[in-house]
Amino acid sequence: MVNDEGRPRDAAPSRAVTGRLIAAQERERRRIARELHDDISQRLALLAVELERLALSAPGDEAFRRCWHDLSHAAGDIATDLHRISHSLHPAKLETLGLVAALDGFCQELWCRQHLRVRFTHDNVPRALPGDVALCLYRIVQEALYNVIKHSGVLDADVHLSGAGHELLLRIADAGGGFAPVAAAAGVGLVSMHERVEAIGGSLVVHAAPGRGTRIVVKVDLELQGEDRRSE
Amino acid sequence: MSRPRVLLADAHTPLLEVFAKLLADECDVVGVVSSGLALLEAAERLRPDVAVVDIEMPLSSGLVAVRRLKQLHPDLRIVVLTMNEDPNVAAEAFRAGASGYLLKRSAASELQIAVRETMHHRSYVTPLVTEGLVGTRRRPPLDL
Repeated sequence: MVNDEGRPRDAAPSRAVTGRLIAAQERERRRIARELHDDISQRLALLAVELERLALSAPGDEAFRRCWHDLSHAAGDIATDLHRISHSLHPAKLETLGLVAALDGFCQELWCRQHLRVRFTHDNVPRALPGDVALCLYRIVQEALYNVIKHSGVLDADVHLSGAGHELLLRIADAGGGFAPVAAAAGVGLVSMHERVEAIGGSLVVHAAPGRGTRIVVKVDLELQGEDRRSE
Repeated sequence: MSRPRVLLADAHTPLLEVFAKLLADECDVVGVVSSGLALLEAAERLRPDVAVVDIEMPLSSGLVAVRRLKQLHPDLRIVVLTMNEDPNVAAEAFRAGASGYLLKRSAASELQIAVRETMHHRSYVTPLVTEGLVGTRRRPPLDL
């Protein structure tokens, strides 16, 4: 196995600058997500409700009412899809239900939509986490599992999140085709994962080799969130 | 049984108007509000039998408002009416004190039923979410 920590660091922007860039990107995602949720998907839901009212009250034959009902259903489906895209852009669930529930929901969604079976386990994860830490770990899991779907050739993966003292540990593993880390180090996905984790003062290590699966391990010091990073 | 007194809470005014029309045959809509804080204030002032609540509202999460409402008014029936079809969110809504959960898209055919059921002290979950709640859509066990 080869550990991947060898991406070019000389040209890397400072942690604070990267953190600000990531925060700006997340703010923009949040704005688009709100626009989709608060405006477009609500208007589509309204359309679906009005069409269903017509289906229930319109005179005429059954085929005519069925047609209104089908139109209502189609509008409702689009509204639901937009709502889902909105939550994918900015997972509001992180704020309302916390990281564990958000990850569990995401893993379920991957099963329903992509048929990836993810075994998600967790222990001793604090219910209240700093917002940027929760969002970072959520994004890492998103990216890693999309990579499993795109590149691994397998349909199973493991995600484990645990807390020990003031440290959070995230592990994402699959038994798929793996890759040569040196060749993949410059890939946008891995670079982005590294930058996100570094921006919250954590560490990320990728264990991978061709034909031997992939394991990503992230460590975050929660004490650091309250101390060093206050000044950044 | 007298007509239920219903309070509607949703940040989207056009939807509030349609929901009020959907309930007009069987209920008295005694108030409409657009935020979690306004919902708490209106529930105290109007003392409705049922609150129909979107859980994605500004100024206090709807789930927080549902939990607080139930603490302050244990007899109030709460129906969540939302865009969110996530079974985890539905389960959390019931833990917070809701008696009903349905999606806005199916309000025309289900809202009256949900209010009626909760007035009879029964729970109502839209079929669009039920299968996720009972686990049929959940991931199968892995044989790793």
